[in-house]
Amino acid sequence: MMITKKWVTLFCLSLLLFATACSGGATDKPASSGEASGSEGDSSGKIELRMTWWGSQTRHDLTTKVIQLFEEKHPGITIKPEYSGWDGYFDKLTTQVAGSNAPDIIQMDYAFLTDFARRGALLDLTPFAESKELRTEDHDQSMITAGSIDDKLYAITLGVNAPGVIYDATVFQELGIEEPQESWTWKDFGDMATKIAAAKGDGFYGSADISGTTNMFEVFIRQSGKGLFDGGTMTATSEELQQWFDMWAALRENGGVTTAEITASTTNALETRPISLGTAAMDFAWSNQLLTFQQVNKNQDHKLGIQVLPHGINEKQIGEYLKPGQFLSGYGKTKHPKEVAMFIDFMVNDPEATAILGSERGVPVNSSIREQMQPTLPEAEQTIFQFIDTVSKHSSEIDPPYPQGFAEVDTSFKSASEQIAFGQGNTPDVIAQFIEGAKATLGSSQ
Amino acid sequence: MTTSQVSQARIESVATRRVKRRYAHNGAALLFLAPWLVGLLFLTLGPMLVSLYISFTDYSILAAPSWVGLNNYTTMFTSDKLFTQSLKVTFTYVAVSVPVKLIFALLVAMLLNKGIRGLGIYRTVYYIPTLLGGSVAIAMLWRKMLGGDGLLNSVLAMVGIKAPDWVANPKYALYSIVLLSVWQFGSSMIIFLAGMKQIPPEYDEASAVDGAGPLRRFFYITLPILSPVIFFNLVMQLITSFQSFTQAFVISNGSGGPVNSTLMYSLYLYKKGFSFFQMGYASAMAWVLVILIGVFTLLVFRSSKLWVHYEDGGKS
Amino acid sequence: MIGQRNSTAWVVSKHVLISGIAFVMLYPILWMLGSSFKPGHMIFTETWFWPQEWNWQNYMNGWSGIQGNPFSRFLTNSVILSLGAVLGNVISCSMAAYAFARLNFRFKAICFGLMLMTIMLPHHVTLIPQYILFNHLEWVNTYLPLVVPKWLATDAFFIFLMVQFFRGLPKELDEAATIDGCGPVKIYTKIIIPLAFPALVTTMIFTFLWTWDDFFSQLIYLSDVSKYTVPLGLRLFLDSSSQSDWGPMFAMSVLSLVPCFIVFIVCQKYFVEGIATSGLKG
Repeated sequence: MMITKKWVTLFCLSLLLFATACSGGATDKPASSGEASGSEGDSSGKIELRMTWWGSQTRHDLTTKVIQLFEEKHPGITIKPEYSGWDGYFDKLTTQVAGSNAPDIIQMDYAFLTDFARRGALLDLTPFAESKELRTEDHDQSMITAGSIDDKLYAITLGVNAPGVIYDATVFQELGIEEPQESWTWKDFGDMATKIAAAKGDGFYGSADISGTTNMFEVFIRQSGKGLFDGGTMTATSEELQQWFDMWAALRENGGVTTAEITASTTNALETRPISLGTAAMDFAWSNQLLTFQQVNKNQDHKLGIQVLPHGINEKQIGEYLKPGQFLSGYGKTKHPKEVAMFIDFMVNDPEATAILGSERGVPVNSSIREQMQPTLPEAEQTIFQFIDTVSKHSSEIDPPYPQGFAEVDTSFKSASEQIAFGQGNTPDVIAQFIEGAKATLGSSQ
Repeated sequence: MTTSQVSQARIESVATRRVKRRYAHNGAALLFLAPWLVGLLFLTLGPMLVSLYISFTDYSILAAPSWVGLNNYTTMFTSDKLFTQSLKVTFTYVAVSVPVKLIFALLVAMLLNKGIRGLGIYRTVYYIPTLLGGSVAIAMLWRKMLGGDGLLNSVLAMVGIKAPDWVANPKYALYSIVLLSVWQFGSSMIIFLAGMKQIPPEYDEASAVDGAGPLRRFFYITLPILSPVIFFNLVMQLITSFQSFTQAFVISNGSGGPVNSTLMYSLYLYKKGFSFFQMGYASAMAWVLVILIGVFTLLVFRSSKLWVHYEDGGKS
Repeated sequence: MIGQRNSTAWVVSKHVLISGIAFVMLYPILWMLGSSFKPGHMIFTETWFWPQEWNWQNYMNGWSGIQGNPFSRFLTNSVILSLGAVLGNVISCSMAAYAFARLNFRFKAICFGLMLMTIMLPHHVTLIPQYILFNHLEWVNTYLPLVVPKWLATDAFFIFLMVQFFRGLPKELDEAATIDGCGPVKIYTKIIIPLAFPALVTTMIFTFLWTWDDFFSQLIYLSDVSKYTVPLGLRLFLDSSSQSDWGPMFAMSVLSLVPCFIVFIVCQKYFVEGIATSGLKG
């Protein structure tokens, strides 16, 4: 019948349209990866780049200032900013990549790096690094490793962070308890938390319960001498998981850390964390969040400090490490790879640009810029710089970027911790389930 | 002509008339349906078919899809515990929220239709929750109301009851979302009100004169005349609540937690597609949902023959 | 209608009940209103909505918007977008609904089924193919992908809504008009549309509100901040990875509720007036 034929044709047409778009949307190798002088031809004409990032209003203001500065110095290039908050950022970016329509300069996150890089969505920056158009010699080697997948450089670190314990120094003082020292262990942490909770009484906890935060568990695992992931497998054993969850369960029981309900009701928004609400004395977070924690704290007169993560008792290596807060990458199918590399270089290495950006995204990755900047900073930011300094002296190498499928493992780790906290099923079973699930997820994602 | 020939002719002419009547409006229909047809062919059907195709592939969105056949479907039904969980959560949600919401909306619409002073204001006030939609503010609002230290618990504490955190406790979290949905009954209420406005008041007055009490009038006049609208609300609430996403997303912060107790089907679908880069699997889930919703909708449609009364004398 | 119904006790208790429920409905708005006047760090820590300290800072900050885009721009963009969507939906969906409700044509059942099916498929999975389609048409970063579908009756929800309303109108009206010599088009414009006005008004309200609140589609298709609409603008104040500006966000949320209220109150009149059933008499 005529109708059926029409529909079949339409179906085929849509498929064809879609197939061409899809396969166009992702090449196995990003275009022009071999040529360092990609767009020589149109450097005489006007070049327009698009740049996208997520962040707060402050970051939008600072970054657009840097863009304007760049445009002044390079009159032939204009950059159109496309920015938003964190929510929906990666949904939109993913969609844009699918439509072969992503911006040229992309702020990238550690958790998504492997997914995007391995599927050809990011520009290979190695040739530009080699030709010094993108200078990396003053960058921490571990930051360069962190941005490389399969020995190719895909992302430049925008801010150096480190995991740490944020604590309310005023509360510690008030209770006469010694502040956490660099050499403290998990046992010290537990004792402190218990003591604080006991002293302050009902409704106040020593620390937030972070047993479900994969990033922090990772540090714990690193202390046994290995990374959390090895290629495409998760390395944590059931004994290690048991140890971790038992430690936190004990603390929940004696009131040292927040109850299951309270933990489930807090989000990643810093204003909702117990330490900000004045109901806990410690929290686990990232160094660049110290500023925000201070600003959103209910008790504005309390002073916050930051310390390295507790050491493992008999640890094989220090768990602490420097981690990129976020990255700057190029789009794999950009028409102007050279200019993209130029801008990235400008943003992390140019003294004026980095002065504008300050440490809003984290500590600058370029060590000479860091040295220049530090004396000029306000006190709170100096604390962060010093902390990063401390960590760089007491840390071990960062592990390679997370494998594909990490997002799912991360989610199921959190679910597992909630299950245990709410007492749904016994811990060994939950752990076994988690390990099995992780194996399946990672196995099918590689 | 012979009798048989006459009757034959009569049968034929009746038949042709029937066909003519059936397709009498082909031309006019084409005119009126033109926008919808264009939209369907160019904007809706294509992507729908493509998503069907993708459900048989492994598609990360960032790279081209690769064929895997029925793999997604089999995994869904055999080894994906979260899939089963999401079905459980969604069924519970639908089974509770749809009837409660509709009954509430109908009752309030009836109350408001009777002409109270300040009617317009009340109507607006009841609609306000829906106005707030699925904004981020809602999530915070809800925690402030139903959270561990929220308004409700403070009130309960005054009476000496120590209540759990209704939003963060896996036993109750889903019900706080049901409550949120019911709280936003405004849309259904408006539709009922609009439907009631189409009921000629003479019917009601006439039967009152005849001595029918309010309850009788409700069951024998109002409800039947309202039945097409009730039917619509029922079907649409069914369809939309099976697909419910925003409230769970916003309240659980995208996690479907705690412990996956609020992992609605659409939320899990979204996570699979966008957060875990498994759009092929998500598309398969979507089509399973279509079948699921289709079955329930069909059941409601079939049942409508029994209780829905159309003024135009037609059946559904 | 006399006696029991009008007794004071009944009226009073009815009002108490309705007001009680109304307060519960209203409390969240009151909370939002209150929060918009509180300084940022107080919003989360106070449960009761009444601010302990009032300040206008949030409104001023919020209004100045982001990067030289005052919030008024986001409001205007949203208004234009929503009005375009409303017009499109009302016209195209009522046309399609008329065909399904009143006209007989070949393949009617199949078309109806198809229409319902389009409502049943979650939009997250058609998002990517649609984006690719619109990208090929070069409609990305314009309002076209958000408005044109409304003119092509892609919101089948409203088609179905209007079908049910149209079917509530007696066929005698149509027949009377046909005898008077009216064709299907005249019946549509002179009889069905006027009588089913509540349905049209309902469509208007819902379309306006849903377009006004639609975050995801607008996020995907709009890249220029100057084209941003209210939902996108509000989210610009928030960043769950660092610090969010809750104060201005609430202030602007309160402000952006105003057009919604206006639309609702204006359209409400048509519920009060109802529709004269003059067509049925005589």
